[in-house]
Amino acid sequence: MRAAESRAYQAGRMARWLWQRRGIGLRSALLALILLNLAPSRARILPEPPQVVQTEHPILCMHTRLVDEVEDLKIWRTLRMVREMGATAIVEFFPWAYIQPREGIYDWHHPDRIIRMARQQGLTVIARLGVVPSWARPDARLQPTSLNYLPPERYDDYAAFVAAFAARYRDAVTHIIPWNEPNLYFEWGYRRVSPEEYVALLKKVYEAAHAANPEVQILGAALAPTLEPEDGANGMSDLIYLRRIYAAGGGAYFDALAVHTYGFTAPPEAPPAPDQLNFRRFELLLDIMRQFGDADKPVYITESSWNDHPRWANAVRPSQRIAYTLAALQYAEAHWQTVQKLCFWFFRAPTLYRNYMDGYAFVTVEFRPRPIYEEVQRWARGTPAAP
Amino acid sequence: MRGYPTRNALFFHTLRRLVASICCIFLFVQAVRYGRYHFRPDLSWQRVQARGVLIVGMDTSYHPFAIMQGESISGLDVDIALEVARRLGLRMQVAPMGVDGLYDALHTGIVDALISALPFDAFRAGTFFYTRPYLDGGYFLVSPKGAYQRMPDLEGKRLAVEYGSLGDELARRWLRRLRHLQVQVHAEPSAALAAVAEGTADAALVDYLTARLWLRDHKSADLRIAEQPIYSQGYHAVVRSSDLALASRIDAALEAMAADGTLAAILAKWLG
Repeated sequence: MRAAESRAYQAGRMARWLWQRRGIGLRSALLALILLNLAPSRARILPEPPQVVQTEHPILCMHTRLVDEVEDLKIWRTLRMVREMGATAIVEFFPWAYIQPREGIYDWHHPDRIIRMARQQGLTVIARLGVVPSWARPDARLQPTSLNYLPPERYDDYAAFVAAFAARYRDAVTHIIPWNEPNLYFEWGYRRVSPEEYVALLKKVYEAAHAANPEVQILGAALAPTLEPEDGANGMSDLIYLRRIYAAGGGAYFDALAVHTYGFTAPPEAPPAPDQLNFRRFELLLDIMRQFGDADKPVYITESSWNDHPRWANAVRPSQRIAYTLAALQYAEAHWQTVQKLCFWFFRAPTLYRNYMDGYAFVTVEFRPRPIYEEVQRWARGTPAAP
Repeated sequence: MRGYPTRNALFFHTLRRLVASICCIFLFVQAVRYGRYHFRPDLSWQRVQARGVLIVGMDTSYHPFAIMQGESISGLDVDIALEVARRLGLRMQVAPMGVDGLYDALHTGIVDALISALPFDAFRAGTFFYTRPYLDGGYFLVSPKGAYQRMPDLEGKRLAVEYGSLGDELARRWLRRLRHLQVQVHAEPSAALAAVAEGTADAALVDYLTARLWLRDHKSADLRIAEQPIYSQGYHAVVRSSDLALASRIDAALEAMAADGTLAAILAKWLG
C-alpha cells in the first residue's frame, strides 16, 4: 500500500516537473521541427544493375561537367544519357582544392560518387586534375595568386595528390591528366609559360603516380590550340610547346598524350597549317611526336567540338555542327590510328553560362537532348543519319 | 510558492532585458538601412535628363540589329534606340561592345539601357527590368497564304526545318504527338523556305528574322508567316531594375511606337 502510494507520489512529482518545463519542451520541439525541415529530402536513385554501353564506335567520348553538380540524381541522369548516347568514356575535372582543402586532409566524397556512378553506367573515366588549394600557394597577403598558380616547391604536394588519387581509384580511373593547357598564361597561374617547368612537374607526377598504381596511364596535358608566338603575351604556340617538352626529355614522363583540337568555323577535313586553328591541327602535333620517335604513343582527344551559338563569331550553323561532328568522328576513326578516344566538349552544364559556351552543350540544362545528341546517338548505334 | 527574487535572478532578469534591447536596436537599425537602400528615391530619369543623352549598349556585330562600318553604326536596334531617345527628348549615344559585355556594362552603370536583340532571361529578372518586346524573334510556321497557323494543323503534312536548329528540336517533339507529320531537314533555313515555295513541303518552321529576310528577297513566293509563334522569343530593351523611372519611360515610348506604326515601319525598313 505504502509502496503504491510512493509510486503514485513519484509519478505525480514527475508530471509536475514536466508541466513546469513545458515551455522549454515546446520550444525544443519547435526548433527540432524547423531544423528537420530546413534541408529538402534527397532524391533517391533506385538501385540498378551495372550497365554496359551499347555502341558501334567505342572512340566516342564526352567531356562532362559533373564536378559542380550537387544532386546525385543529376549526376546519375547525366551519366545515363552519356551511356545511352553510345559514348564509352567521360572526361571529368576533379579539382585538387576541393579534394584536399587542407594539407593532409582529403575529402573524397564527391569524386567517389561520380566515379561510382560512372562505373555503374559502364563508362571509363579520364580524370583531369588541377586547381591549386590555397595552402599550396603563397600567402595571399604577401603574394596574390590565381587558382592555377603552383610554385615549384609545391610540385611534390601535387604529385602526392595525383598519387593518392591514382591509388584510391586503382580499378576505376586508369587515365589521369595532370594539369590543363599549360601553354596558356592563365592556366599556368599567370606566370610565363615554361615547357621545361611543366616537364619537371610531369616527372614528379609520373613517378609518384606509377609508384602508387603501376597500371595508371599518365597523359601529357592537352595544350590549347593557339597561334601565340614562343614568347606570346597570352601563352605559347602548342606546336612550339610540345617540341620543347620533347627537347626537355618530357616524352619519357607520359604514357599517352591528351589533345585539344577545335574546329571553330572550318569543316573537319580542312587541311592543317601552323597558322590555322582547325580540327586537323592535331596532325601537326602528331608530326612532332613522330620526329621525336613517339608516333605510336596513344592519343586521347579530350576536348573537341563545334559551337552553334547564334551570336558567336567562331560558331557554325546547327546543321553544320552536326555534319562536322559526325564527319570528325568518321575521320578520326579512319585516319588517326593512335587516337583512342575523341571526346566532345561538353555534354551538359549544371547551369547556363549565358554566353557562347552554351552553344557547345549536347543536352540542355533541363536534360532535353538537342538534335546533335540524337544524331550522334544514331551514328553510335549504327543507324543511318538523317539526310 | 514563489519567494522574493534572489540577486542571481535579478541579474539574469536585467541581462535578458539588456540583450533584448540590443537585439531590438540592431533590428531597427537594419530595417532603417534596408529601407534607405531599397526605398531611396529613383533619380534615374532626372540623371539622364540632366545629361541630355541616353547611352545605349549594343552588340555591333549582329546583323541586321547593329553593324559597325568604319565609324558609323546602323541597324534595326540603332533606329529603335534613336526613336526612343527622340521621344524622350534626348540624344542617343551608342556604346558598342561585344554581346558578353552588355549586362556587365549596364550593371556597372557604363550605359543607361541595352537595346541589342536581348531575349528575356528569368535568371536576371531580379537585377534588370525587361521592357515590352519590340520584336518576336522566335520560331514561326511559314506556309502558302498562311494556311497553317498551329502545329496541330500539320497532321499528315510535310514540315521543313533547318537540321539541328531549335525548329528541328520542336519538330522532333511534335512528331510524338502528330503521328503522320513528315519532317524534312534542310542544311539552311532558307532551303526549308525554298522547299515550301517549290511545293515540296507544306510549311516551314524557321525563326522570324530568317523568314522575314527571305520573304523580302523572294516577293514572288506567296508565303506568309503565321500570326502566332510556335516558340516565342521576344527581344526587349533592358534597364537596371533600380532605374524604374527611366524604364517606364522607355517602355512607354516603345508602346507608343508600336501603337502609331513607327515600330512596324522600322521593322519593315530592315526586314522587309
